[in-house]
Amino acid sequence: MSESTRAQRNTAVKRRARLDRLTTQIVAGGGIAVMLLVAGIFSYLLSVALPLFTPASISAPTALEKPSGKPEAPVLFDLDESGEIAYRLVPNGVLTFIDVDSGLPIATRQLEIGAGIHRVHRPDPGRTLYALESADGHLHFLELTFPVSFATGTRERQIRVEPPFRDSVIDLQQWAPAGVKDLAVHLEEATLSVAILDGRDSLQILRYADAEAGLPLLPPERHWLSADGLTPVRLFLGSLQWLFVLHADGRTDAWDVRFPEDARRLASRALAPADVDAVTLLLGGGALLVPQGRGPDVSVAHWFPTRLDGGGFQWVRVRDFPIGKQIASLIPETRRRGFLVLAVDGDISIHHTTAATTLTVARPLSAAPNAFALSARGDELILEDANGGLQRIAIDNEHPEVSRSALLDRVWYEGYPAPQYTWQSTSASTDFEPKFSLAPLIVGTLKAAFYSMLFAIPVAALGAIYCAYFMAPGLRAWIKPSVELMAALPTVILGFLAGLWLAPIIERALPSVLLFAVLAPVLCVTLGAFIQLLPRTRLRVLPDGWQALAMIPVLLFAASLANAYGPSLEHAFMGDIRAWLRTQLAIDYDQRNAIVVGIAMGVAVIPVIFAIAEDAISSVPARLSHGALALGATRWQALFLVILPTASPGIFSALMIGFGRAVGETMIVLMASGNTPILDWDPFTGMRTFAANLAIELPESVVGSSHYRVLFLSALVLFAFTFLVNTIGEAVRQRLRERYGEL
Amino acid sequence: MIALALLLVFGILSLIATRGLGHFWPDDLWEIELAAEAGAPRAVLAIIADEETATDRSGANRGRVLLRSGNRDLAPPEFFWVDARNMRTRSRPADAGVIERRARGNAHGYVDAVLLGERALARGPESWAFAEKLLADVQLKRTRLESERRTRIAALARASNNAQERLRRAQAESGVGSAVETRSAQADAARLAYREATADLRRREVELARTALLLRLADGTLHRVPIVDIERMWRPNGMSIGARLAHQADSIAAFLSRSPREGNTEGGIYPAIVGTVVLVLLMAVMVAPLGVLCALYLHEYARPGPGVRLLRIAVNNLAGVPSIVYGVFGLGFFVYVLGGSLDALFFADTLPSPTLGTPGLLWAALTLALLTMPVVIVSTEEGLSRIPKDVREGSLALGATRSETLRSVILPSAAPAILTGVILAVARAAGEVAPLMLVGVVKLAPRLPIDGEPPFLHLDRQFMHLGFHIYDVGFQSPNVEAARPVVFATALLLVLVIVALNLTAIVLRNRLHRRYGVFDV
Repeated sequence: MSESTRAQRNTAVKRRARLDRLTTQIVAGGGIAVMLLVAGIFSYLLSVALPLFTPASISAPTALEKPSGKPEAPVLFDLDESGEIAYRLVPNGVLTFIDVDSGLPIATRQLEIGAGIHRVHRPDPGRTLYALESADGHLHFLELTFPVSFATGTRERQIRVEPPFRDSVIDLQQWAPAGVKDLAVHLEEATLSVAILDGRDSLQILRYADAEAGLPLLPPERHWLSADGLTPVRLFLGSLQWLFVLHADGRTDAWDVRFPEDARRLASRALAPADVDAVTLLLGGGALLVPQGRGPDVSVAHWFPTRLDGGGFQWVRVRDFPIGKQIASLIPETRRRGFLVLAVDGDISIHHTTAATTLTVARPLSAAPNAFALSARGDELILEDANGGLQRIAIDNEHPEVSRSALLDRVWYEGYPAPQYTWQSTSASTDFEPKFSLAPLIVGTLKAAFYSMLFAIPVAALGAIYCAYFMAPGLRAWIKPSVELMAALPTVILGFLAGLWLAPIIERALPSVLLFAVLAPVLCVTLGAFIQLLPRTRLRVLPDGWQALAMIPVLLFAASLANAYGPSLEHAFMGDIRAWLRTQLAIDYDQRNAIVVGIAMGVAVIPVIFAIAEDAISSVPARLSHGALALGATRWQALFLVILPTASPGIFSALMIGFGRAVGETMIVLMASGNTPILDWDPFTGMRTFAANLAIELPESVVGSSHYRVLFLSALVLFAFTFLVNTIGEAVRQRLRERYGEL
Repeated sequence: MIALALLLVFGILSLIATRGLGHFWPDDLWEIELAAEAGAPRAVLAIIADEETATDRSGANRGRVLLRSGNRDLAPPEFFWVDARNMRTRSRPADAGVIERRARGNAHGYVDAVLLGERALARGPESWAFAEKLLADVQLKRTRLESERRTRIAALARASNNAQERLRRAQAESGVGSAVETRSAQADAARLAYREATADLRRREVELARTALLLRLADGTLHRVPIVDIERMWRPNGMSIGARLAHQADSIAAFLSRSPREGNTEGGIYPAIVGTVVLVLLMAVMVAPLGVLCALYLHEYARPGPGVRLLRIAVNNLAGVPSIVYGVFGLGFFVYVLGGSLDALFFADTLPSPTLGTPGLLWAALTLALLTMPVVIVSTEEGLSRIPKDVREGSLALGATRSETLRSVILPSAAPAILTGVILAVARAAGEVAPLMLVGVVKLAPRLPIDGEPPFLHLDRQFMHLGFHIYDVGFQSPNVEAARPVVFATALLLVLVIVALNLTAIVLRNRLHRRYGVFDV
């Protein structure tokens, strides 16, 4: 052999070896990729859901540049929407804007307000719009806006101070010549409401229907409210509906002022605040945060008026947030139902009402600040101490509305008569309280799965037993592909048939359907018994193992019988079975209900259960049943005493896997269940499952919001649950296979 | 119980088949005179859409009939139930016609005349034949006008826009001067050309719209129906069985090849078919290599042990994970994370409007590939396990390396199994809807995901899908009654495709079994 051929051979061998190694690597890479994928899906879902449960945190304060000299104490101290510019207003009308990053003043405006300003209100928490009460009895409105401009090529914030309405001054003396003790202002949907408590302790409410048109131009509706001989001290007006009046003796009234001409005092009770000045409204204006107790018993109580069952309203102290020390101020958030507590000793704690949580407590300060402002997003707090020094505190509190109790326990939502489980994630209004109770979804998911298993288990398990043990091989060769085809039916088709075709039929012919459910098994069993009684020779008509086909006419007969006698059955229920159900059993009937879902989803899971169960039964070694039969057992005895006990783990695993399918099925439930997140187990009402909820809500959800993460959490729960169920099913099957191997 | 299961399967299939095909059958048109108390129009020309028979206790007929009277805009309502007792007379006049319109559904009536403006081109009995001839001619012209709008007018619009853009750039660079003037003149000329062409097209469209049918409804009122608005017209009562079959075939062809109209409740499903096909093909291209690699690893390369057992359980579990979870993963990870970062890397100039960071074809195909991978793995593995050890060892004994054995012995033998797996995966993917709702399917896509524009296959586009079409038309459309036939027809198509794919897979698998039967001892 020449050198060159040997060299060639060598390179060829090397090349082949290299190729071999490469292939091995690629193939192994493919295998590992799949493994990584499973782990990846799980960990990705987890990584999105996990931030829901990270606790809030408060950073150490960073001191900003200290302005020279000691400024006058502000009547207004606030932040713009984006949290970039802080501003402070002093009584003489000087408005100073401060860049939050540097702490330096960037602009100053002198407001043209005759006398000094002694109080500032914020009528709409969604806007940086203020009502300034001047010492000479006028109410001036002004709005600060900070448009972004790119005129010079770089991003620049402009500052505009403008009257929000055509004419933005209300002369309070005209309405309250005796002077103003307290005042509350609220602006919503261009309707401006002003509640005034005057020097003679009389209460009145002014309502400007179209504030944008100009305040003095359109005279307001004016209505007096009776103080009932008490001494009101503070007013709270946070919505079109509720006016809360705090009296000197601690009693608090709730007035419904939606129609001021017909204002009604709905609830009155001693809320007994420990500190009248610290009481504040919560977002939405329907609830009060009230500091209560003394010393170590200090807490913040969340109160709101709620409708009683028998009519009327009542103040309820829904929940308490223990603080344990003297409170300096409460700061409600402007976009969420959360609030901050500043304690006298400099403690700051963050709370959320719906979630009933104290998210974090920290002591970044040595004393309570002089003035403070919380950014609109609730992620930044600017504080001013008594010397005018500014401090900035970053707050990391992304998802306060989610807590274990908000997800799983009954929650008393604002305005609801009692605590309850509710899933209501979004709404058009901005001061909406999101309700993230998973309970209705969990129950809905299990309910849908339960009713479908109710239908599927008998059909699939009995069918599998018959098919594997009794059926003639010739027929079996046909059955298995048919069942496989059934498995291949897209669920969207089953769902649409269930929703558009089956649901109206069941609604119209409910008695017939119920009758069929009873008649079909009864008739089948009767006929089966009848066949058994026939003499053996007659049985030749139907060869052994083909009896199943004989049942088809029986079922059709049962169906026609049910169809014929259903209406007469309905007459027995006063002519309308749905009305009867509603009046006699208090069961509501929805057109798209659990029965419809059960049937449609049953059709979807039958083939899954059937295939695995059939496999388990038919792979029981034939020797076992042959042995039993040889020992004189009948076929039934062999089945019940030998085959089924041996195959029962396999049937169990079939049920588990079928259940996993039913829990995660989406389209059928989406189309046939009505998708109302209610919490009951009634067969004739709908439900909303996790899967359908994801399909409905995820496309609309804002990426990174609490809602988005809660949806990911529910996907994670689905994933984990089906994974668990399937793993159990698989493990049982593997064990069974090994056992058959031994037999 | 077996019997019930069988009944269910074949019952469902035949229900869909009859309802779906029935949609295309030219039903008889009944002229029905209703009793005054029926609460409906006095006389209608209607198709009997549904019938319910019932008797009350005394045995009297309490049945009711769902009539579809067409003329949604001319004489509403289109669908209404009437008591069978209230139908005084009914007949099937041979000259009653169904006019399928491009908008507002079908019209039912008699053609009294064919008009050009106010002048009659034909009157009386010969108008129908005249109208049919005219219709063919008008449709040809309309198609030409439409294609002209798509090509020539669009090109002129583009040219005008480009000229404007050049002018703007010239102004930004130099401000004034001869260059700017030339550009300005060019821009004006381009705009003028575009305006003139549009006006000319518009004029011809108006001209075309002047011919109309004078349609007399059952209640005697006369209506103008412009011929351009007509898709097809037929007189069902006079049709023979053969003519009806031909009509049905024609309708099915139109259903398969046209775009939807009227909020998807009418017209065809062509874009949904294209969307589905492109989607599953793309998915098959993605899933086949990965699935086969994993199966090869599991069966040929990995040493048996806890690792392999774990992997196998993972694969089996992936098959059981709800499809919506894949959709959630696809939306969160593929669309927002992967798509978002790809956008930041390659399409930064169009941000913030996303290119790949939004649901689209690519992510939908990838999501479905994940979803169907277990199918391919399981099927391939089964094929691999059927190859006898002797064959493998023989190859190795002859000096072939493992990769050579794999390439020239194992893979060819397993090819049918792999193909079976891919077909099953395609069948599964074609029927899957839930995850797609999150990652890219839309109710109406303006453009197909595959077309003549480079790069021909548009991975970033959203698409239509048969399964979603069923859900959307059946459950989200305002006129469910009118939409139902389309839903059944679409369902029929989807079922046929999926049954065909599954049968192919079953047959392939059986042949595979027979082929390796010889190795079994």
